[in-house]
Amino acid sequence: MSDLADRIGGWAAERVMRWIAARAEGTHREWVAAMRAEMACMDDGVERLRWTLGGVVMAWRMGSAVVARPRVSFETAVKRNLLAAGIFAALNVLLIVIIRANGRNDPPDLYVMALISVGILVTNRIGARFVTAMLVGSMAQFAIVRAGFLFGGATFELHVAPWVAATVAMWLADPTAWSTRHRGHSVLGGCLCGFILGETIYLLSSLVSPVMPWTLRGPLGGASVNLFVCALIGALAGRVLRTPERRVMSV
Amino acid sequence: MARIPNSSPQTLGVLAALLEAEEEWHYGYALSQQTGLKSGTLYPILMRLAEQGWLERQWMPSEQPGRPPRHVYRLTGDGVREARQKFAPPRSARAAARLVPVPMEGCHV
Repeated sequence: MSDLADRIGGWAAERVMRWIAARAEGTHREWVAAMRAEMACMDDGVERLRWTLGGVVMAWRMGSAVVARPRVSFETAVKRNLLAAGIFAALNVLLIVIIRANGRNDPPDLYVMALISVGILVTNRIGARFVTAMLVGSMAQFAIVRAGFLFGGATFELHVAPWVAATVAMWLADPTAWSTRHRGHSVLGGCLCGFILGETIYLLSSLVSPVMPWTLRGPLGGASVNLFVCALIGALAGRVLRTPERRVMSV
Repeated sequence: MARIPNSSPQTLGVLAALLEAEEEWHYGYALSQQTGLKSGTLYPILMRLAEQGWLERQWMPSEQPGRPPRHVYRLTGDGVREARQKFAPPRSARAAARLVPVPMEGCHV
């Protein structure tokens, strides 16, 4: 039994380490390679896995580290940010229209989910994390699907807004080029902001649309807690899933 | 209040382990076992120390055949000096020690 656990542990550790190594950038590569080399010296598979899980934590920290980003022209930056925000806002509106037209609150159809995914991929793959957050949120929150979608959208837009603001600020300082640094997004920040904004939008929308069949839920009700948990899971998953390419694209 | 760099218990633990044999090269796994830190905590500390110039590192061939070279670490001159300062008694204690009256022989006012 322990031999089997050993083998599985060793196999999983190697997989995870390879995954981390593929995502490491610049100087971090050396450190990931160092961790990998240390792992190779361990004979116990479970110990290897334990060591590797620390690598996941390190990858997480690397993701939130301040990393210098290449200079991007102001026009490109604005185009990326505004395009992303615009498309996502349009998708939100479209989703609400679809859901309202159907007058139902059952689980979202697959085509709607696909539509969102394609939309996000089109927008320079910005915010892969928030796509995940939204999908997890909306799938889990199928009882109030609109809130799930709104939550995702709001989270995403909220995180696009600082980029737009930074773009403008940097442009004012230096109109010829826009230099930026990767913004580390805290999970808590992402979740809380998305949660608050999504909930506010949901609340306002419910107030101004008395014809809607959904009941008004209290901001501190069970649904809010569920949304928060879903947001947390989504943001965590998205954070882990984010690739360096996506990060570069998100400048 | 500004945070004093490299003063977390974890970082101090790593510094202490490196100071124990300051001339020798240390393996990451050995440091992890020595300090009780998990790799996810240990490596970011090592990375930070290296960035600050406190730590030097190099690749060393593995003692076990067929295994990849290993990364080894030791404190730089600056690192040793800074780390020793971290473990030195606080300045107030040193100052108090200086204020202790010392009997002075052959000195008459």
